[in-house]
Parts: sequence; structure tokens; C-alpha cells
Amino acid sequence: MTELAKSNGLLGVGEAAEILGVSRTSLQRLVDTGRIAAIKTSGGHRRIERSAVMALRDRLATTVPAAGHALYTMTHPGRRKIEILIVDDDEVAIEFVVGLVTRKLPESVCTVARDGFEAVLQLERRRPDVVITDLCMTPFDGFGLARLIHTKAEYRDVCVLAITALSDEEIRERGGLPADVLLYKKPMSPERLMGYLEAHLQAMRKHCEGSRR
Amino acid sequence: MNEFSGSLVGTPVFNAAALARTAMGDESLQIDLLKSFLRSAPGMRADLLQAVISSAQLRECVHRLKGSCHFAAADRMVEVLTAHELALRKEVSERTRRKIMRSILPELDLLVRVLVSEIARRCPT
Repeated sequence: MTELAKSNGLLGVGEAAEILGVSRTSLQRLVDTGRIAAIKTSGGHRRIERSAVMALRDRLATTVPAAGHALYTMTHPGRRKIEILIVDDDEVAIEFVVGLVTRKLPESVCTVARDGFEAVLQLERRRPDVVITDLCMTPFDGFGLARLIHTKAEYRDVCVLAITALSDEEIRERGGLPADVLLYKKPMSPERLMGYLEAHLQAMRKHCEGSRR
Repeated sequence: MNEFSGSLVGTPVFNAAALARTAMGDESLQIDLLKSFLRSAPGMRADLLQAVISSAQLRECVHRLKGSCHFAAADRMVEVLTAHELALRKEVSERTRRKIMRSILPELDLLVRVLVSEIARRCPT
């Protein structure tokens, strides 16, 4: 990259991807969909504004909403925590899931993404055990996210739980969901959600203990 | 106020028992959910006003508001929005969209008033 571009506060795709901790492909997707401002040089190279990259990095670093929940509490040092990615554009829904999980399941780490694109970046950065996603989001919705997780081999261990107020018919009309996606309808039972997460954590622990032996 | 505080007739505007169930009895989470809804309400109101230009946009907005209302135990609003969402599954005229809007906004304003008083009751300081 030229010194002129650097002095103008522009970054190449590789540098920007490194700062964000994501692949070049994901970064290019962000540029192509207009999620991050970039220019194209006469040679066809993308140049991205450093300030835009830093702003996105700060946003991705927010693992929980600003309501002030603790990131996590390590009650059993050395034990693996369950990493949960919450994908929703509704702040009340985020408050519900994060509030419930951080209070009732201290051995958890919650990360929030406010649409499917942010979720894809967080999938790469954090490798969550469970993704809890809304289905109706723009521009990249929960259907697309669930299908992407389902089709990519590197995410085969990621469990997807979709929370929605859509009817079965509406879900079918939108192309349906992969068979391995758990579907919870609103109003959802908090006991069912916590039961699932606790069972998942137990299974993770058993798996860890089994591997150690 | 009783557990159906704010109810006029039929379905309660706010259902305190349902909110307690949603939060698994955690009082601080209940308050956080109500506050979160109240923080989001002005934005959702503005989105609704803008969405009147098309049935699809209005339906999407109605659906999103309904989702938030579930977590705030706003039973009557959920009922109202469910009916409108169903009506908006097909393209409707601008007149109908405005009529839908006129029925939602007062309900939302009433809900906000009820939730503000609910928070004031629970957090007197």
C-alpha cells in the first residue's frame, strides 16, 4: 500500500482484516455490502478508512449491552465456560437473553451481534458454542445466518437456537430452517432456554472430562 | 395496582405475573426489561410512522414491536399487533395502513404510561 494512502488514514484489506480479527473474505463481504466505507483504487484494490475499521472494532468488542452486566463470573476456575452469541436487532430481546443468562448461568460468556453480518464476524472471532438468533433482521437475517452455519464445516459444532414470533407457515414461506436448528416461539419459556443451555454446558463438561482421561 | 395494572377491559395492558415468569422471578431483570422497552419505545414509534409508506415495511415494524412487547409482558399490545400483522400479510391501501397506525399509536402511548408508572412503583427512589 502506498505511503500516500497510509497518510490519508486508509488501510488495505489485509490490514483491516487483521485489526478486526476476521478473514479477508469476511471483510470484503462487509465492503461489498456497504457495511464499511471503502474506495477502490484505479488498480482495483480496496482501501478502507481506518476510522471506520476502528469504530467497527470497538463495536465488535462490546460483548454485552451497555446495561452493565458483568462479562462473566468464573465460579469454577479451569472449567470451560459456555460461549453464547446472541443475534438480535431488538434491544428488549437482547436484554432478556443476556440478562437471564448472566444472572442464571454465571459460567457463560455472552456476545451480542445486532444483525447477521455482525454475527458472521463474531462467529469467526469468538467461535461460540451456541448461537441464539432472531429470524427477522435486515439486511442479513437469521435464516441466512442459520443456513451459513449449517453449511460451513468449521461451524459444525455450533448449536443454533432461533427465537421467533413467526408462524410455522411464515417460516416455510421464507424457505424454512435447517433441520438441526432448534426453534423457540415467543413468548418463550425462560426455563426451557436455561434448561437447554445448562444441558449444553453439562455435555461440554463431560466431553472435556472424557478427553482428559 | 394489581398484577393486571393498567387494564381497561379484557386483556391487560401490562401483565405483571407474565413479566415475573419471563424473568424467572428476578426483580432486577424485570425492571431492566421494562426500562429497555421504554428506551426503545420512541425509536419504535418513529419507525412505525415512517413505515406507513408500504404494507411490507409496516408489517415488519409491527412484527418487531410485537417481539419487544412479548418481553415486556404487554399482553394487549401483542394481541392488537398480532391482528394487524395478519391483516398486513396482503398488500393493503394507504388508507388502511393509516387506520392501522391510528389504532397502534394510542395503544403504544398508553402502554408507555402504564410501564412508566409501573417502574415508578417498583423503584420509588
